[in-house]
Amino acid sequence: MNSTDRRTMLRGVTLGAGAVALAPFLKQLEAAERQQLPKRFVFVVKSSGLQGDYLNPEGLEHRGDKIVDESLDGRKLSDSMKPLEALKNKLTIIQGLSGKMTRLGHSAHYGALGGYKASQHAPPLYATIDGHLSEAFPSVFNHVGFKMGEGSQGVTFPSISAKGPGQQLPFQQNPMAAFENLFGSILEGGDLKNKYTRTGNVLDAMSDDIRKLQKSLPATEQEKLGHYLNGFEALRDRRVKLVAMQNALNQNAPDLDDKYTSRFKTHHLEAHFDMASAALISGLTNVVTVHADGLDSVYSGIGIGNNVHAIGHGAGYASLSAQDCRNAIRSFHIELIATMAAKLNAVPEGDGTMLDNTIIVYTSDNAAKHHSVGSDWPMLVLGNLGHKLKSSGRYIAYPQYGRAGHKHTICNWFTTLCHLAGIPQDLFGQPDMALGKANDQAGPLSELLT
Amino acid sequence: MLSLSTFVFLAVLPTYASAQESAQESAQVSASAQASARATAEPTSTKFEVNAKRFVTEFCMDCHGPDNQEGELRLDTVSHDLSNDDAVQTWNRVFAQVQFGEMPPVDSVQPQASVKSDFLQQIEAELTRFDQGFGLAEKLQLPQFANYVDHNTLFDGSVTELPFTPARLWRQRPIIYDAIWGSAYGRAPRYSVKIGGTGNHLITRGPHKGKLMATRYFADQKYANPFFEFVHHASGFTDYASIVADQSSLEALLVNAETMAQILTVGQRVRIVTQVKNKGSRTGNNEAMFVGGVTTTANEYRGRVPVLFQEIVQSEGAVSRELFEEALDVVFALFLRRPPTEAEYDNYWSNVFQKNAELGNQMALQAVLIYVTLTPEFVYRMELGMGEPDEQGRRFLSPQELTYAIHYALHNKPAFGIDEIETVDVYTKKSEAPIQRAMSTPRPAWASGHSALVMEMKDGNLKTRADVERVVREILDTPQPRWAINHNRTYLSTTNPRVLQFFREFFGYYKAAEVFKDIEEFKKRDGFKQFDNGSASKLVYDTDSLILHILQEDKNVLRELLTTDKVVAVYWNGQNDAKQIQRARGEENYRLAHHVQSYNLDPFEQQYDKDSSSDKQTRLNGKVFRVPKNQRCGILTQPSWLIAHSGNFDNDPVRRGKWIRENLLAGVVMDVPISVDAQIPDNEHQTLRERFSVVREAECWRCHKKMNPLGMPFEAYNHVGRWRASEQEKPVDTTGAISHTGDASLDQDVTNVRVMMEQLAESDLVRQSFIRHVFRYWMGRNELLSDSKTLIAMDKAYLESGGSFKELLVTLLTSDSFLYRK
Repeated sequence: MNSTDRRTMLRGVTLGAGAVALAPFLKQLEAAERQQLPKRFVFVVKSSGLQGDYLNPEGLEHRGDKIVDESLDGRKLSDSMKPLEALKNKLTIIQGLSGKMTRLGHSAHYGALGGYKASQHAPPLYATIDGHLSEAFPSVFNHVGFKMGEGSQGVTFPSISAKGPGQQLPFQQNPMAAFENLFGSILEGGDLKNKYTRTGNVLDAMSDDIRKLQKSLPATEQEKLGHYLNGFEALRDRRVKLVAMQNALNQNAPDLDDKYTSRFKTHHLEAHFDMASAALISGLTNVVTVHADGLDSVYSGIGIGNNVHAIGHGAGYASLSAQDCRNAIRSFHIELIATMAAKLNAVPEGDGTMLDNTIIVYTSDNAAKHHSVGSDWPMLVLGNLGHKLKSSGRYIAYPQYGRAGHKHTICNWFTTLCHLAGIPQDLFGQPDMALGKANDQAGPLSELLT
Repeated sequence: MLSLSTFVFLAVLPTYASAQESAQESAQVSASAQASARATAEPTSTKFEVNAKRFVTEFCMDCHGPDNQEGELRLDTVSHDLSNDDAVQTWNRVFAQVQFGEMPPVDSVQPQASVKSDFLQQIEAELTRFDQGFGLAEKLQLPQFANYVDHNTLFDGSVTELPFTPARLWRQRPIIYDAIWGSAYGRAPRYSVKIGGTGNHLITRGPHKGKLMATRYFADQKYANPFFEFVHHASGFTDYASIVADQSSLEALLVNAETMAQILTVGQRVRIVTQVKNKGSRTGNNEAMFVGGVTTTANEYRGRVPVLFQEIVQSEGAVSRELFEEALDVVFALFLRRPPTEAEYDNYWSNVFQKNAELGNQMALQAVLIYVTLTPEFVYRMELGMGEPDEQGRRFLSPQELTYAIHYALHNKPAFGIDEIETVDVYTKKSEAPIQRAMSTPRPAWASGHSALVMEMKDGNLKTRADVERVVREILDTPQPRWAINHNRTYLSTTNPRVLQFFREFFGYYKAAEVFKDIEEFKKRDGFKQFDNGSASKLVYDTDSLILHILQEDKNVLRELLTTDKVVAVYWNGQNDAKQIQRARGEENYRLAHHVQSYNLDPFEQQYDKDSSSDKQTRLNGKVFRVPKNQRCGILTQPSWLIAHSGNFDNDPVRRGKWIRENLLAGVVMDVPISVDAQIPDNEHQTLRERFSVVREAECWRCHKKMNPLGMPFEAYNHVGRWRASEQEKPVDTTGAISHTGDASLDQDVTNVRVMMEQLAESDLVRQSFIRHVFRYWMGRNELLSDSKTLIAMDKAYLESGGSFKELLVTLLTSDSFLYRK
């Protein structure tokens, strides 16, 4: 369904109840769509490093002295990249970025998407790129995060994404709870629906109470409380919008199948990708981050009974070597990404498809290795955001860290994304002091901009 | 058009990341300014025209009238119709010049403070009428604008109004929310079980019988604090009553509340990860060693839930009102720390519990729990003044309000504990002994006792000003023999942590660790070898300790802070360990890289034995070194302060000067106009002072004259705070000036830091400026003219007590400003 369909469909809904509440939202939607097509961003972040050596197409190498810049046309992709063969003309492989301004080890935490020193327990210093983009491209949910984990919690804070200083973003972990949060409005009965209703009741009752309290306060304090009250109203608006989007949600929401309750966490990850695609297609959000796994994740659903940490330390499983396990995990992620891309590619939008207005970035929270120093941080990019990214199937490897020509950091990539998004800024995160002054390492990766 | 609001938010920020921040901020501000359409207002207000003309005629005509038009500005013919863009621009310019004290020029007749503020308010009001205002009234509530309140009027005794604080809500302090929430509801527990490796438990039954088991319980702090810390650039104060809770706070509160409701009704879900060793596994009992094997995960519940909650969750069918009310008492005790009122019983019963009853009793009870932690009372501290009004209509704080106000003034922990609640353990399984131990809960994580203050309140001893004085003195008199602070014992572990926190936020030296330095390059550079990865934090702890030491003596505190020649090095026990010398590859390397080199001290010359010293204080805290008076002079010459106010590669005289102007001289400096690309040219053959000559251009100097002369004496230090005699092989130029203070006896050229600091330390203006900051920090708001009596009393108490910070604080915490609301 393209965006015009979505708008028409929404207009249909407003003829019923709730028309008044919806009118401004629809106007906003229409105005936005008249001006330009939405821009969407997906970040898939794995733990334990994304090994660059296994991303190079046949005949191409990174870690050289000079930039390697080649078309993917006619080249054979590496084994784990095979699922992307059909989308090769929308694929960009970026090698040779460094990220030494982060604090690495097992994970750079916020640093991976923020380009700064961060730790798991300290509050984030600044917005990360996904948080930054989500504030720039707001939607019903500005940002949706998913994280494969133990599934015990509905929401988790993996210390990966932040929308501003001190403001970490939550990640949906338990697939059932995530479904309730995103698609709860279309449920009929059941425990999830009950929770959804309960929260709605609380929000309603509370805003009435706050309004009563407000009347008894002096003017300045009424205003102060007003900010808080606005928060309730925004959440209530969101619920109203979700009701208005019933058709779109019904049409696009994934089926609540046994993946959602499976004891295999890999099935949860599949469910996360299904929900992520559905959320993007139905217009629930423009920015998704999937933190694919953690060090303690076990990929038993694809036949690996060992956890990611053990594999990173060289332990194999059954007949598989540790490297076999890593390859299998990477292939699994790439398959999921390819499926998501195919779904987006099947929805027409503007002159092309939804995928044309989307960028999917696959990377790791710990650069290229299980124990990393950040000299090499691969980025696999799918989609070109309406040809703003200069690529129709391209491999680009920057000179290796420490060589004279190296001045390309993950921060440059993040500023590139800002430029692509149409919100250009030349500084993102912190500089790598060893590469010289801050201003000398500012700006986007110019090779990638049209 | 560039409105004033665009640049007043920009600060002089030398670090890369903060420049990024402010660029974003300014982009947001200007975007919103563009977005606001100009309203169609009535033409010029006569009142504005008449008053503006009167002011302009009296103070501006000599230079901006028919005869002269300095700066190409003529004010007798300027339009007062602010629907006209040119006029808006002109009046904005006039506003800024008058506001920042640039105009009328110092050598001409000055308007009275009240005349000036009326004039400014009228310009702002008229601009606002045309949707071009910049929210002056709201801005004046922010700490970075506090110095706009006229200093002389505050202290000259002309104000007769009795002080009070407007009734207010004060958003929960993040650290207090964390104390209430973090350990009880904000943890993600994981229990790791390794079977078949090493371990100290022998499994006695089941399939793994006879194997060894090793277990570890982790409970990582995992939740988002809804009230993220907010530091105002200019003031550095983190907790101000003008800060609001908004949608992001609410979203985080809601997520947290749902988790909490689960924990209190069914228990804390624990993920049990079991790894069974197989043939290829490496062995050991911790994460890094035990690698390989088969991993399985299961979830179990642990924790204690209140018996009444369990009763509701487990009861089938309708819950009685009586049971509900008992449970609501528990909910209130847990989160609001007071019993519910009759109206609240009704409201929670009918609007929250009953409304969700059809979803099941568990959901309904969870709704009540969620509700209570979203209430404004949980999110904001209410300071409405619930006591009796006096003849001026001011109301005294109620005993409960007093308890919060006093406790939060000095502590970062909740004032109220939780009275005992009957609970039940949710883990009832019989499992292997180590699991049983880890999963059972003897005491709920939220259990906590009341503070002594609460006990006073409960005994009815916290009602009057005399009561307040008594308890405040008791709290401040609590002995604190140790003044040495380190990473194991930070300011948070001191007796009254908010006291040292004030000095941290006021001086801002604690930010030293946030300024990135190129450590690698320092290893080969003279004067920098002592600075490594951990140095900035250590230097901060040194300064923390020095301040506590000065506070312990409590005499002439401000003078000491500004001029002391003492330094401390809390990470050094006075010994030069042979192994460390060996590790440093020889005495010379060890000497040059030693931490005390930051203070230009030689570790071999200064060697002493901390543990067997005859002086008790030295044994307890370490030695206080006295250094040459020309090298160190108070906190502003501590390496931590110098680094916190430096750039990545250089000193930052602008920021240092700005700090002195705003913090010690009660002055204001216009922030960098957005059109200015604040860059100092690179030239490795010039000193920073020489490179700074570019700001002597008239356009720059207009503002820089208020900062640079105050900051330049600190060129006596390199950019990691080590004192130096020469720069670029020439003797370092440490001259500067105190100027534009409005106090002729204070203004003078200075030859070095000590001359400047000694002069400042003697000044009434500096002392009063400091007192204004004390007021702001503890009141959580800017001073109003009506606080004049409080400020004068503080000043008097400080002087009469021989410079006691304690007396200053007692005076503030027993003042009308602190105790009355209106």
